[in-house]
Amino acid sequence: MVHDLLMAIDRRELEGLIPALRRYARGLAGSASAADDLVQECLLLALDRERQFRGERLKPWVFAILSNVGRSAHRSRRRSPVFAELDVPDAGSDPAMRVTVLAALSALPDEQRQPLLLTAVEGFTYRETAEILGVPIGTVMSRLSRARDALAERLDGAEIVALRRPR
Amino acid sequence: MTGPTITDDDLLAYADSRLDPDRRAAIEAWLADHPEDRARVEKWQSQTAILRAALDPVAEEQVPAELVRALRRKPTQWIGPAPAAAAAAVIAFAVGLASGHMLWNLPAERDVVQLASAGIDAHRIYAVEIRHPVEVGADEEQHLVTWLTKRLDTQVKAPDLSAEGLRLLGGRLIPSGDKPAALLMYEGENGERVTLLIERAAPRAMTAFRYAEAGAIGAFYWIDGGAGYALSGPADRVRLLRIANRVYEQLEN
Repeated sequence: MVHDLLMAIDRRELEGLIPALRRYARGLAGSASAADDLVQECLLLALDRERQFRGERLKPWVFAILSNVGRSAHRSRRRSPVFAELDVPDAGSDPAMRVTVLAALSALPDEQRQPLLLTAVEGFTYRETAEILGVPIGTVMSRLSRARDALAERLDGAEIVALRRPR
Repeated sequence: MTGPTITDDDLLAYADSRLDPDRRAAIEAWLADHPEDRARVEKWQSQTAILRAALDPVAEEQVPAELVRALRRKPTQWIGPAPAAAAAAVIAFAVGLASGHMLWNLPAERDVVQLASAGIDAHRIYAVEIRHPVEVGADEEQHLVTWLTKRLDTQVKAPDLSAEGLRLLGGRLIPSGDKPAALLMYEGENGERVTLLIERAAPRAMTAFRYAEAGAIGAFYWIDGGAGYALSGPADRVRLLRIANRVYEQLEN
């Protein structure tokens, strides 16, 4: 009789998720270096917790880990210096705009910022987001509404022009 | 008409383009008559565009080398099938073992799954042998390897597992399904025994590491470089994975 079946994590698939993990982490942490610290911790935790991986979809599983890492990092960190450091500008984005957006995001509590980033930027469905964050889907929806209204308040008055239409 | 009840959730799902066409049309009709809601939805949509414009470029950046190294720190490295297919294979395996039938009918998949049962069966039968655990002892390792390579028609090497406190006892030729297979046996100081089953596989076949457990025996099994492997031992997954990684590293070349 089989008592336990589990799968090892496919390292290449995990590696392929790093760009999206970095994007999510940047929205959570603000600065590039703090974000990459979160991603690194997330990757090491994912490998440490390989035992808990049951062959479900890897992407939501890893994003759940990063969400947790982001939350605990937030708790243990004084929340001032995140935006003191300006990101190196990269082609195709306006660094001033990014700083404004990240600053507005940093004012949101994790419980609002996380579902907002997971749905609006990472493209997870509401259901997937609920599973990633371990909360009921109704909670995700109400937090999203609050996140969006709060963000709208912060961004109003900032001179930001949407560069792209939503997908 | 009385019109549907429109909630914040609906507006949000509309703004996020997450509605089916019928529901979408209903919301559009609602928004046509409710300019305040329309303004809110448009604001949300432009938020989404702003968030993406700010963050999407991060995903285009070169990944810092230390992050890739974080993955390499643990030695496991393999190429796997699509996770869904692999998960299906594991489930098929569980179902197959539980019901006594192998329901899986993709030949390659069946071969992979059969590796685990062959490895676990062989371990159960031979690892308990006190006097005759192997046919050819480690003192004749060169002969053992040459003989098994010839019989299996694939390169057999006996990996060095001394870093895990295991020494080679020797090996034997066993049947695995309708194929010949090699069973190499290792022993630790405390009498712990670990076996490595090797059989021939299609030259280009590759799988992820998979793990199966039956009773007190666990096995990691995979196919790589023209051979299938099943590493079996006492069901301690963490230890077996470490040993399997040692095997994998040494057989890679």
